[in-house]
Amino acid sequence: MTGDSPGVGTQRGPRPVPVSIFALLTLVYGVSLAVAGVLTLVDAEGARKNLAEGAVELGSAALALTVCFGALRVRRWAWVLFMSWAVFGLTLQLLRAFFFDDPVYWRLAMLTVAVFLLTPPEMQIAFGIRRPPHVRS
Amino acid sequence: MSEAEPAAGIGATVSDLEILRAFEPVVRYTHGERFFPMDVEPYVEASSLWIYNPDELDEEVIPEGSLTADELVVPRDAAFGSLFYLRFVGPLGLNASARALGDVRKLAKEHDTSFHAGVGRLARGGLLPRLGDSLFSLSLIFRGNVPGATAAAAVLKYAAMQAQDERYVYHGRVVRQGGWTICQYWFFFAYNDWRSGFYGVNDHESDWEMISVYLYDDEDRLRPEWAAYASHDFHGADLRRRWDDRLDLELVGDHPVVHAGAGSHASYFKRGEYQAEVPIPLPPRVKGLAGSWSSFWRNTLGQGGAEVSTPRIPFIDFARGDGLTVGPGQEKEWTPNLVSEGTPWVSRYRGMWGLFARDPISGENAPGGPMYNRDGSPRPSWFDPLGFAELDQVPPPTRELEVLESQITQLEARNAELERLIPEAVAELQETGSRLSGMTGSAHLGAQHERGTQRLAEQVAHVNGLRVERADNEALLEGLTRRVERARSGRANQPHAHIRNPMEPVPVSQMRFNRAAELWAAMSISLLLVGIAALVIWAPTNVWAALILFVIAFVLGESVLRGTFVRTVNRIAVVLALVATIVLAAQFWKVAVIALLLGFAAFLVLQRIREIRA
Repeated sequence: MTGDSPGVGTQRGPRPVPVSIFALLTLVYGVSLAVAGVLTLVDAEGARKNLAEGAVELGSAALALTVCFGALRVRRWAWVLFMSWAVFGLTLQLLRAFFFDDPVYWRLAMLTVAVFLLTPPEMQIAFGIRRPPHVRS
Repeated sequence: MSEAEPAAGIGATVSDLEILRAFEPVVRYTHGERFFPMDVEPYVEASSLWIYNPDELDEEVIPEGSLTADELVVPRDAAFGSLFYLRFVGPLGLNASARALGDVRKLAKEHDTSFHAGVGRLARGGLLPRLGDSLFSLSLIFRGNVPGATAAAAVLKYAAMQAQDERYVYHGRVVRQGGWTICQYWFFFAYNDWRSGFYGVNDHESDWEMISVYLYDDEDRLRPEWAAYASHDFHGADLRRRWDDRLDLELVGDHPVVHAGAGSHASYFKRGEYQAEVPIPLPPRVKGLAGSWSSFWRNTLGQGGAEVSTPRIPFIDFARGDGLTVGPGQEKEWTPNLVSEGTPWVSRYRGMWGLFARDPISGENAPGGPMYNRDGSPRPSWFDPLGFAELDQVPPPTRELEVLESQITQLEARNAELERLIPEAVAELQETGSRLSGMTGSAHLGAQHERGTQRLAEQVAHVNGLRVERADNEALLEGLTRRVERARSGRANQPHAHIRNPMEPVPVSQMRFNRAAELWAAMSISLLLVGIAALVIWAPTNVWAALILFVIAFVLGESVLRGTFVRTVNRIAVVLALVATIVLAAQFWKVAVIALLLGFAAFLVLQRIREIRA
């Protein structure tokens, strides 16, 4: 069985520029969601649908800020958490685009850019997802 | 030539049978094996002869009980496209089939021949190979195949024959070719029950397997140098191991040890479980798309990893060697049967040795004989035993030095000639060059200059060719001289130097799947189908959307069990991001074009400003 390679430990090099850009994107995304969530809750006036929507937005904001924090420290778990989130978010937006015709394009674009930022092998090496070519497992 | 003391061997003047007996193999079978090498003649006598006619029903030519090896080879007229085949097990009715299946279960209990696969083969492949496997199993309904109870009936029939006259037989021949003496040991089995008995690829009536031992003549003694075992998926030099290769070739005295695959009877050098992979047949367009995706993933996205070829269905060939052992000094000994082209059933019967199941990909059709393929064409392993293991290019050890030295002499002579030719060619080149420079400035010599230039180019190419040849020869001479020195000092080449694809069992570490993964592997495809059916029933309006969600969740769940979640989640994210890129490009192509133009313009302005300021 060829499983996922384990992380390369705690020794990490300097944070690559795309990771900083990614962290900035998630920070902006997280803060905007937090603001939107708070505003939704404030305007909810007890309506159950709005309360739920606000809670989801605040939850997503917390997730984005957590990923941002992990990305700034170039942590493996942040990469894995983001990719899982991206699979969920992209699936949701694409289903909305194909079947319900109401995708949120800016979310789709942000997730797409972020996936491409974090996918190159050097980014995966930086996060400890894969080993550098000269390191034997 | 071997580093260790050469094997004692046998006197070169002994009979062929004695040569065969001196190097006959020790074959270790897997516990649960139900068919062992047998004599051809009782098999023929217990079979019936049939003819397949493309346009008519098959016809029984000689019924069971009347057929003999002599009758088998009587010339018979047959139309083009027809073929003869034997049937070890005749057509079975429902009652006979049920009885055979029941009796074989009893027999397995009595003789403790039940087989336990252990780690499931399905857990070793991903979702796609398992889907392929399901389709492969389904394809047996549409392809021709050996009926289910045939294996059971064959087990009972063979067991009865063994009970009457227990013998373990090989059909051996000795061939002399290219300075080698080759012992071929052909093993005939009444049935190949790899699919029905051991979760393998196919079942077919009768089976032929073969191993060879290659001997060389050394001062009136025949000494073994190579052993070659026929095995699925392996060809040429990969099939052979040198006699002194203690890593791969196990010996008991002068007898090579073979580990036979359960049911398939394929021969392996090492005991273990071998992963045989059957490619899933895909239409060329789909294969092309898969190749493009693989190239995009590896090269464009720089993700590396193994080349994604056609998805393959994993099958395991169990060569555990924990069952019966046959060979000199073992539980059971061989009964040899000397054969040659002069043996009538070898050369004069070109039909199949068991049921012709009409399987278009031939996996379930019985094989031809040792000398012929299924279609009656010559079998290379019989006609060209040296070429079969790519030994036609290897001189016997006692001739190696002579061959090497002769090559060195030839190369040295050629290099001496080149030493003379190169300065002559260079002198001619210089003459042409001088003549051309003398023409410069003389307008009336234009045509002559052009011809001279052309000649100069030809001479340059000639001189370069000679120099390259000399350099190549020198490099080759260096290698050959080193080899000669090694040969003179009795040091051998690396025993594995000729192997391109080593035949290795699956490492135990790669077979560690937990119970959950195995259970999941066994159930997953059925669950997927049930899930799709449930979606069609309960979510008919959004069936496609729900199906996509379901499949993604399914794949991710599978990856958690297989320990490949990180890799899988990244792959899915990239695929979704690519689809999203297309969606975004389709929706905002004008904006994208404008942004690109503006970006390009800004880049150019920055470049120019930098140039002005520099």
